[in-house]
Amino acid sequence: MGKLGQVETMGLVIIVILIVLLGVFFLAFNLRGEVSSEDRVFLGIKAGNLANSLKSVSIGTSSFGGRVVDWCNGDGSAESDLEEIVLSGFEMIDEKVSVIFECYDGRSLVFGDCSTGIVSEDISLSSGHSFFVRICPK
Amino acid sequence: MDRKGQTGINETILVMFVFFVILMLGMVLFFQFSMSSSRKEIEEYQEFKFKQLISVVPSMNELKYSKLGIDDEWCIDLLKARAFSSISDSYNFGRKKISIYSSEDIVLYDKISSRATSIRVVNSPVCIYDPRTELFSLAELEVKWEN
Repeated sequence: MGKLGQVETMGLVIIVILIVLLGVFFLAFNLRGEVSSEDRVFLGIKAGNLANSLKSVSIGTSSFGGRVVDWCNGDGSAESDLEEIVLSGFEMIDEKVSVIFECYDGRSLVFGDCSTGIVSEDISLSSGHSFFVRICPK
Repeated sequence: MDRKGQTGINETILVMFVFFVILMLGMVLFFQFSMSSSRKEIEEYQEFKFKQLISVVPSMNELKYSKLGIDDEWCIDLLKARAFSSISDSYNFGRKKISIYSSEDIVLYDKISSRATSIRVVNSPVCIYDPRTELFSLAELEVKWEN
């Protein structure tokens, strides 16, 4: 009887160890897909670089920021100017990127196909309009 | 009785010997583990410093745009970049190559050996100001690291 009890206890111990090992492997595979904090910081720097660079780019006699304000104020022709500059910026980044313009009246314009990712600071323009960049981790 | 006592002493000595061997093995393994984890931390720090250059370089006073002492645009001045590339030997960013690709390609810094086999690359968009035309445009900043 004593021996039977010992064998059963050993069996229980082995089952518990197997369950713990399975749990550890599951956790390891789950966490592997997460973006590390260093990569998040790096992507944040890249997004900030693109946003700050775009703001100053000259478009004719105006600037990128100025054309955003024009679009928000109803100038539809500004959209193609903005798109051209934004697309040239996308070519310099390997990851999926989006540039989102937000007007003071609530209208918005989006270029790119990144829906969830690391976001740059908001670049504030005159009249309360702004834009920001979003980068999706690979 | 004497024999029993001797056997007991021998057993104790053997146990202590085995214990110290296991202890020494454990200490050696521990130090090896902490050395390799320190080395890994150093590598991770160097990697972070390398990636951070895409933010550091455009902010350098030697390169950034300013007008009448005010630097309200986050841009690299093209003429300053050209001047910097001729004196960058006195700077030490390590075994790296920093370049700007725009209407004019400029190598700001280059200390990568021609026989380098393993090179990491990061790039980022930056804004460039050309004082000749007084225009701002997009350029690509590339940093290569021989590691």
